[in-house]
Amino acid sequence: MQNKKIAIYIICAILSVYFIFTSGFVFFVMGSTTDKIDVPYSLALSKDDSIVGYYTDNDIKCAKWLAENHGDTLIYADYNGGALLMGYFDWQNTTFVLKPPCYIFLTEWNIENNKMVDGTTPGLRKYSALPDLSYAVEVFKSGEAIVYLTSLSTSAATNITDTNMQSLVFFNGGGDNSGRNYSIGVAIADENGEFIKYVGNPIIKSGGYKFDAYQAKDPWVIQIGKQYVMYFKGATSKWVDTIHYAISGDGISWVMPTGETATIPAGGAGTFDANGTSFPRVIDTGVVGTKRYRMIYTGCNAAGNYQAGYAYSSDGFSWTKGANNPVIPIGVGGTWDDVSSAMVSNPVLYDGTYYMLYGGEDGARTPQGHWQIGLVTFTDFEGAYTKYDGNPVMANDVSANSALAAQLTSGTKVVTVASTSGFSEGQPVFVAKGDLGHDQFTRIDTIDSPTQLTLVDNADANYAQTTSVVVGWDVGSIVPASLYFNGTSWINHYTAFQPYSSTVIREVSALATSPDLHSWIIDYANSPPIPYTYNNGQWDDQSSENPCVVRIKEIE
Amino acid sequence: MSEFFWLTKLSWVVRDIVVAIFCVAITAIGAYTLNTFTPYLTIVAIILITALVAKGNLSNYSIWVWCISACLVLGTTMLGHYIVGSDIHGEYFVANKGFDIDYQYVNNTSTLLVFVCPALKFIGISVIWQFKLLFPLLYSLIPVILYFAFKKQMGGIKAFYAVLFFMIVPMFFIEVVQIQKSMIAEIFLALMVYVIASKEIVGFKKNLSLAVCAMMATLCHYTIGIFAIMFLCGYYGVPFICNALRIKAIRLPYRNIKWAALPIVGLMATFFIWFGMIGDGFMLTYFNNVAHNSVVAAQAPFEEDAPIVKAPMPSSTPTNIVVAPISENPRADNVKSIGFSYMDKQEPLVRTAVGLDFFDSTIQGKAFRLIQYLTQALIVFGFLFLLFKYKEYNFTPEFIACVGTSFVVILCVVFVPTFSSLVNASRYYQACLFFLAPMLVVGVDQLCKIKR
Repeated sequence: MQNKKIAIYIICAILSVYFIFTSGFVFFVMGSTTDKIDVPYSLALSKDDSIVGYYTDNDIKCAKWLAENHGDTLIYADYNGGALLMGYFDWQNTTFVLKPPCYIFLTEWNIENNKMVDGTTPGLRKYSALPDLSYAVEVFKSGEAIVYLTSLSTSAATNITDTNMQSLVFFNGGGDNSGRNYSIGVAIADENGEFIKYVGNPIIKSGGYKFDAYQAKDPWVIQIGKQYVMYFKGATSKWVDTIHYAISGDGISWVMPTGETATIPAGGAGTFDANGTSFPRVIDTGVVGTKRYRMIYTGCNAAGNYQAGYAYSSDGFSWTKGANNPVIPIGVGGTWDDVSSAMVSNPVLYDGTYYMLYGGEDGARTPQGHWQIGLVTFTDFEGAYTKYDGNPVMANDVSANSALAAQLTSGTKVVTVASTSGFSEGQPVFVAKGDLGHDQFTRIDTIDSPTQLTLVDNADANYAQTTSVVVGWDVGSIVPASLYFNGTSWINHYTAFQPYSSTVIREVSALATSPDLHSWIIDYANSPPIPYTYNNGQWDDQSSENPCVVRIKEIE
Repeated sequence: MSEFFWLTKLSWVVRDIVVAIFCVAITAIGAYTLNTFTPYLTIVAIILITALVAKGNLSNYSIWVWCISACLVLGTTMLGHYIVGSDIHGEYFVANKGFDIDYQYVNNTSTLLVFVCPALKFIGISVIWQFKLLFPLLYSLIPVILYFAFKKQMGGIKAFYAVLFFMIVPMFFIEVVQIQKSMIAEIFLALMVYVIASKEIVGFKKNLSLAVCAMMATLCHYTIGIFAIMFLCGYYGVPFICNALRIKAIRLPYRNIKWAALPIVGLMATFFIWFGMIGDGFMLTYFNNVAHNSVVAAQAPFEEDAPIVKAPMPSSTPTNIVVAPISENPRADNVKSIGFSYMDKQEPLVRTAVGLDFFDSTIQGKAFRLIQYLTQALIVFGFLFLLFKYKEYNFTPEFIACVGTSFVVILCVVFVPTFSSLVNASRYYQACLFFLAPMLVVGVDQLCKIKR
């Protein structure tokens, strides 16, 4: 009996001492480190330490936000943050790619302790510094828990200043005669300054969200910090246009931090942009303050008039509409821009004055109207905008339009037309059947006689006499896109569209130069600046337009 | 007189229940509100209960077993407003998602998570509260089940301390409580122990009970299912061998062995049908890989340059979440100087268990290791004593067989390359304690007799 009692006391003593250790008491009191745990820890005693997957309500809110908004974008988190997210993500339906663009999820523990937790082996934890957040955008915050979005890694940040990356052109392509399926692509300038399309285009494909179900187009890209920010228009399946933004570190991979939330939403009833916003053009004034970034965009009112409006932002992401919109109102009845005055180029500051091209529409053509290019100047974004008296400074080339005088047979390139007087050698043209069932994009090689010209390409079909036409690619309408001054000339990258019918889209980029912004010379040889091949099965074989030329040196 | 005795005894039971519930409630509320002092109170209370039991001031051991168990478990699971742990979040996702036969994810193979949790959610119990309170409360009954199993074999107070040892091993209230499917599966493992220890449940009834418990454990969590298979193999296999070797302690009549087909075939059928059905049988592929790698690694266990063999398995980490930073094989760095390259293939805790990291540990680490090794030594002594003095106790031959099996499992964890990677080494140890915990008490008991 005595033995039994002694045995019980001994067991009690051993287990009590053992429990002092296994309860985590020793670990906690001795201040043991978590990168070498050689004494048991306790979750209850060490809840503030990194070994425990303990989370605050704010951490949970961030995790839920990510669950609803991350789409297929990667999420960068530390060991504990990653564990929390496992409760909200289907880990098998996404691809593992360890590179930005990605979200960065920092729990309140990360922020409070200014470090990330690395789970090495079970129980063991090591630490690392928080990632460089200088190039990341805060997209959600709850308490001290924060979700950032970054589009680039450090290596990509280096690339952005690489000379090879200094000339990009973003454009939208795709589309069909119903106006749907526009997406955004990029082309990169080669050593000769010619744009080579990126093989992975489109870089932003429409249909990823509700807001861009039908269209993702009208891109404009600037540099903020160490990343590109693209402003563009999305069109819903109900044809509501709104401006959104996406960010990227390399110009190729883009993420949309705000999801369905518009950057410039449509205005209220009765406003100039009540029916939608589009065609953003943004500049960084470099003046730090509430209005560092300025945007001119297009608003559509309830009557269908497109007019230019103004907005400003301190960071390029949160925008406030100007008080005096529209800043470029439509002209009085009977003038060249009495229906619309919108679709501007970027404003260029020169000698204290901003110069900007804009598209003016009159009612001469339906349903899409007849657009030409005008010039407007101003010294203050919130002041008066002055239309140039000689507008339009660029008109569509109505003369380059002639019916065939003889059938153009498939496989031949010599065309007999009623008159060649409106054409120029090297001019891009469409050859179109009269029933609009087929057309071909090519270029005039030589003008052989007053009624005969030779095309660069053989005809891809038989084109009937009289009903078929040869038209310049800029016969229908033109609107500006990008404007810059190279020191001697003004360069205008613009769009020519609907060359032979207002119901057939065919939007193609164009290039013109001017010494004074008033008189323009169309650069046939280098048009279209964005290579265009009609109907070749590529994503942009219907339209390839709205060239946004990013010139990094000028932005800097 | 007799009525007064029973009334007094009942009042003491009621008192103990009230106090136990009060302690558990204080612990749970303290954890939920993140009260700083509650964990210390819990530690003090548990040591106090331990001492009072030793002194003879407390008698309703099963109530105090539950009290300690629930305090330890809820002290962890009730922390804060959200679920606590690492693996638990993957379970949380599946519990909310429900069953998907094509989904290749380990948590999708747990019937608890894919069927029971959604059903409970449907009737209004949120998954968070299932994980924080409901399942932990059920889990806290395991020591009570074990107490009754051990009590049959070694008496109430010794059973209390055997179960106390089982409970205060940190895996019980730190590791397993973060894995819901394990918590519930271990209840069935505990019931298996009870059945094995029982002399009332015999014959077909015993084998059927074992089969049902093992299958339920398997359907809840494959890891516990593997343990169940191991113990059943021991349960039937070891007595067969001992019969041949004429080891008296574990000899059994042959009639028990003929029933082996029922639970083993039932369990294997459950195993292959269930895991073969989900996600194109990805779990079976995993098990196959582990076995294959063990064989490959065993062929060259001491080669310095032998590569670490890992069993490829669908990750339990979401692939769209980049956990940062990516560390480079910290385990290899830790063991390079030891000179036992085969340890590279083992869980790091195996090194701890066999004393290889003793001199690298801190002072408090050394102190802990000494007492840890003491408990391990007592377990070994206890088993050896039991083999020769089994008549002093009331252990069933099947239970002793499973104790022996547990030793074999632990030896495999230490010496069979990659075996420990199937589940964590600590989990092996915790599972074996279902049978080994009483050996610590037996060891002390017998050593005290030697002293006298």
